[in-house]
Amino acid sequence: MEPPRAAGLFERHHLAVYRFLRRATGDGPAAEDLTQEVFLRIVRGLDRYEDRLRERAWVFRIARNVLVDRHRRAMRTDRDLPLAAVPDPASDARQTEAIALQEALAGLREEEREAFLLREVAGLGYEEIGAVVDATSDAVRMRIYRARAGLRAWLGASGGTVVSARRETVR
Amino acid sequence: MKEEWMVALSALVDGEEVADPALLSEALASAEGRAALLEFVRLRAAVRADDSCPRPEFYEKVRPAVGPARAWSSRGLLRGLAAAVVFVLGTAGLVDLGLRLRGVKQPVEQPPRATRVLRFEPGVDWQTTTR
Repeated sequence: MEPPRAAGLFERHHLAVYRFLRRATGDGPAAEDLTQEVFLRIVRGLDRYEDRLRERAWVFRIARNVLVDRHRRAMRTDRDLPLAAVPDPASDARQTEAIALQEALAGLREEEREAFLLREVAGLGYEEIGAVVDATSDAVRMRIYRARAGLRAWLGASGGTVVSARRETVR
Repeated sequence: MKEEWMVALSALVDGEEVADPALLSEALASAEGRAALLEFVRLRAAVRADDSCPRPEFYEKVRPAVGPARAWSSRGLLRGLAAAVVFVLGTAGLVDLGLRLRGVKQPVEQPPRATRVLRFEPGVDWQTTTR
């Protein structure tokens, strides 16, 4: 089977990849840079296209690797990665809610956050997520459940309108 | 609330297999379980409420790097050509078959035989004149 063309993969998946990375980093410009890196890696690695993974899962496996590399680089340079921007006091309620959600996501464990975002933003099933993060479907099931349980606190406290301007950072 | 209920509800929201339907039934029978289910749905809506897009500069940089959206490979061209030949031959065959079934006779190389003969006598039926 011929591998798909990079341009076609880009058109089909770049928005989902960008939004996944934006949620995972809380940083739009950084998500753009990472999305660019994802598709450059795809161009370079098309000959290693894995048929056993569904196309979308293969793309997100690369996106996840790019994200992991970013965290490793940050750890080497001992630099904090901002996960949520300080909200503009004049911003509307929706933006404030989005920032509160970003903070709540930042409070999750890395493996729970990535499994949850691969499910909710990328739309992957448990088995596909397992292939992306090298885990069993049962492990994925538990990670996603724990992420939801952790985020319930955010929902319960906010009713969707939490105002929180703390800057959260993770390493 | 039991953790197993929450795990079952979480899988239900994701459209994944729920191993123990009885557990799910218990979870949905409780007010706490139903509230948790609603919160999972609200959470999904909040996470997916993101219509952000990269800036135009991003596309200017990345689109040229990933190449043209469509290009014909030599294998693709051969496949297209073969499909066109099969289509033309198939269509011609079907037309021919249809004509045969309807009894339409095909033109042949010899002229048809005469069914009647008209004779004209010179000087009787026609005259030669000079101008």
